[in-house]
Parts: sequence; C-alpha cells; structure tokens
Amino acid sequence: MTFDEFAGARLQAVLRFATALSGDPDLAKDLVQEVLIRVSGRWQEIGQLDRPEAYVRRMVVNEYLSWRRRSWRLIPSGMSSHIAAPASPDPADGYVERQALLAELAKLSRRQRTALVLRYYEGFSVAEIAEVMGCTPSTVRGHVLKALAALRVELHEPLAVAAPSKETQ
Amino acid sequence: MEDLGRAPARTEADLRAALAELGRRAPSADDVVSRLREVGSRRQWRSPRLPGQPGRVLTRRRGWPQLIVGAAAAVTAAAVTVALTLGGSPSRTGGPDVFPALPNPPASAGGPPVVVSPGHHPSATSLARAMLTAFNAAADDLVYETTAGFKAGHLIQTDQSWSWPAVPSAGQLQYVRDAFSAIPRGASQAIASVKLTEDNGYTTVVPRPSPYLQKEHARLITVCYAGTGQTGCGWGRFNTPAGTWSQHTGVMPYIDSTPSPRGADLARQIARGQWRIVGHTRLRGQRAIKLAQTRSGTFQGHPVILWVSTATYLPLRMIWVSGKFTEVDNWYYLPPSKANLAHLRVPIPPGYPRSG
Repeated sequence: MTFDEFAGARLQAVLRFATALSGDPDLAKDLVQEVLIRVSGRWQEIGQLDRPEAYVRRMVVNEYLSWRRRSWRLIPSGMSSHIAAPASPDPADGYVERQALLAELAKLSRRQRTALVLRYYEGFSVAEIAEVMGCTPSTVRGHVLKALAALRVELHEPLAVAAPSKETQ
Repeated sequence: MEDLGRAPARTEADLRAALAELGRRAPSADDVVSRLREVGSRRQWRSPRLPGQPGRVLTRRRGWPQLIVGAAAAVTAAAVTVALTLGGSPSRTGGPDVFPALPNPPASAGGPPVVVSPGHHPSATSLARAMLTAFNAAADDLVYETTAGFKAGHLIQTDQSWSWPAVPSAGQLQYVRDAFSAIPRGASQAIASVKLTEDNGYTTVVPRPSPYLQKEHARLITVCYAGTGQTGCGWGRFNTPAGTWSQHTGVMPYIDSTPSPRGADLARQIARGQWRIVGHTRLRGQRAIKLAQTRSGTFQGHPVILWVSTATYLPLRMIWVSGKFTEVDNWYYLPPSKANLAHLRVPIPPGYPRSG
C-alpha cells in the first residue's frame, strides 16, 4: 500500500479517532497533521508493517499524550438555570445528556481519556490499551475504573483482558 | 462528586454512543490534507530534514493530496488569510459569480409534508434545553443565513449573511458578511429577477450588550453593484456610489449582525410555551420538528413556522407570513473550516474602482 492509498482510504477514520480522543475537531486536525507529516517521511518503513493504521493510531495517541498545546476552549454544559428539568425523559433529553457526558469527558486526565477512547471507541482490550499507552494492564484498569467512576458510568462488563463488544463506528 | 448519589447512572452503551458522536464531528479529511500541504511545503523550505531521519528530505508527495483536495479549496484557503486580516485589502479576484446559490429554496411557504407522530414529541422544556445546549456547542461555528422575501409568491429580495463566530461574546472579534439582492428599482416585481445589489463585510470587536447606540472600532468593506437602479449604497455615514467599492476602518456605530432571533431567545420562547410542536418531518435531509408560534408568541398576528433539527437541535428554517408577504429564513451552522470561512471575504468585481 502506498502512502497515497493509505491516506485516501484511512485518513477520515484516523481523524474520527483523533476527534474522539481530543474532544475537539480543531485539535484533532492539528494532531493528525503533525502525525501525518512524520508518517509521510517514514512511509517506506511504516508501510511495510502488517497494520500501518494501528501504528499511525499509536502515533496519534503518543502525540496527544505529549501534546503541549492545551485546549482552553470551554465545553459548555448547556444547562440553563431558568429552565426547569422535565419530570420524565423524552427524546430531546438524550441529546442534552450526551453533551453533558462529553463535557465531563473533557475534564478527565489525558491518560484516563485515552484509555476510555481506546476501550469504548476503538474496542481495544486492556492488554492492547496497555501496549498502545506503554504502561501495564493494571495501570490501564486503574485509568478506566477511575474515569468511569468520574463519569458515573456503571460497569456491566468486567474489565477483562479480552476486548469488549464493539457496538459503534 | 457531590452529586454522585442523585444523578442517574450511565451505561457503557451511553459512553460508546457519546464517543461515536464525537468521532462523527471529525473535520473533513480535505481540510487536513489542505493544511498538510501548506505546512509540508513550509517545513520543506525551512527545515528539509526530519528529526531522526538524517539526509531524508521531506518532499511533498505528488498525487495523493491532489486526489483528495480540489483546486477550489486551495484558492479559497489562500483568500481567507486576506479576508481575516483587519485592515487588509480584499482580494480583487472573483465577482458576483462566487456567491453560492441559495441552497434548498422552499418549494412552498407551507414546507414539506408533515408526518405527525404525537407519541414521540419532546416536551417544550426538554426541547428548549436541548436547543440551548446545541447553541452553546455551536458558538464557534460559522452561521450562514439565507433570507428570501416573497410578494404574492414572487421572489423580490434575498439576503445572504455569514457570521463568525455564530454566538460571539463581548470582546470577541466578529466577522460578518452580508450580501443583499433585490429586484432592480423601476423593474416589475412580478416579472423581474433579483439582482445582487450590495455586499458588505463588517469586522469589529463585540461590545457588551447595551440598550443604547454603541460605537466600536470596525472595518467596513462595501461593494455597491451597478445596474440595480440604485445610485449608491449606504451604511451609516458611509456612502458608496454604485459600480464602486469602499473600505473604511475606524470608529463607527456598532451593528449587531448576529442572526435573529438569537438562539437563546428562541429556546426561552419554546420553554415558555410560545411555540407548539405540530409534527415531525424531514428538511434538508435531516429529521426535524415543526413548530408553530402560539398566540402568546412574540410575533402575534403573523403565522410563523419553525423547523428544528432533531439531529443537532439547531434551527433549520423559519417562515413568516404576513398578508401577501412571506419571508423564509434558513440557517446553516458550519464548521469554521478554511473553505467555509472564505465566504466571509467580500469579492471585488474586476474593474470596480475604490471610491472610499
């Protein structure tokens, strides 16, 4: 596969991953751009790998974790004190709740957020996450459990080494 | 974590859904490729060697960027740099042809057929909350608004405006472009077509809200088109003769060009029961809720219909009907990509002299 083919076929997927990771489309653009500049220069080497995309995603994760630029953009909660909460859930509530969840996600540490995105967006196992993040599986479990607690997400599947079911994407 | 006990627990499926939605907000690959080309060529000039790759020159690869990026994107990306520089001159390329066509003109004032499904209506309160959330999330977007005015079913004027950021805060720089088209003066409204009349670009720092007239440092660019029957175009004390363009930078009356009604106002009106949901439909390829203004609404006496997307909870369209006159407003919340921001640039038609 040439770099041209890789970029044409997989760039959008890498961008989606970077957006989930950073929580900000603009940051994701910067992130992917930085990574792709390096990838293009090393394509002869990266293109020979069995899964070049996995390697590129790992580069995106590393870039994100070492990113100097902080996003100062506030992700608003969207809650308004003068509008009372409804008594029962309805379709529009799902949107608000999802936005609130995303706002809370943005408050997590980068490592916690990275672990969550790899687990629940990419569907990686704990062992795979540990490999990508360069830490031990127990550290990954710690990141995931603390992040889930902060987000008030109930864990229904045990954090086993095996990958969870992949429902999205 | 003090609210841990009372907030409802979320599930892992909720988390997956939220992350998937975030992923769908990813920017277009075209934008990244475009930026990569710029940065790549810049780096090639400044620093030909990659760290850790002695001797290897970062060359811009031929082929793949061209496959993904159209030539037009590169042109508009370069032009926006000019447009967004306070005090800079607009590019003299382009002309009226660069104006995008009014997208999705209404088939009729009544809009598309409505599929009513009463069991799935959100409550007014939750709809208002969702809209407020959506407006906050879209605060940094570029909002593109089209307004079309009809008299007895015939199009008599249109207005296109681009405003960025969509919800500006006090102290923030705001860029607005407004292009107005009308039936030429003296022509028959029943048979003549609208013609681009004037195009204004206005850049200023948004002041704090005030009930009084405010003056702010601003830049105003006006192109006054010839052949419209008008002798000139006025904006405050500045007059631009037809067939010329002008640029003024200085203290001038602040004109709030943020699309109206403002999102928060609309959400409050909905929460207060000034709108009622009349059905579900599809508009511009999206599922939408159709609302009608109630008698307690602000615009009493005129039937007003509003469509709100249930994908984004942002307004899509509003139709006002008053006697023979109908006005149709469409809103588009666009990501602030270079290609989209390029619409803020006022193109100067070739051959138009500067008059001020």
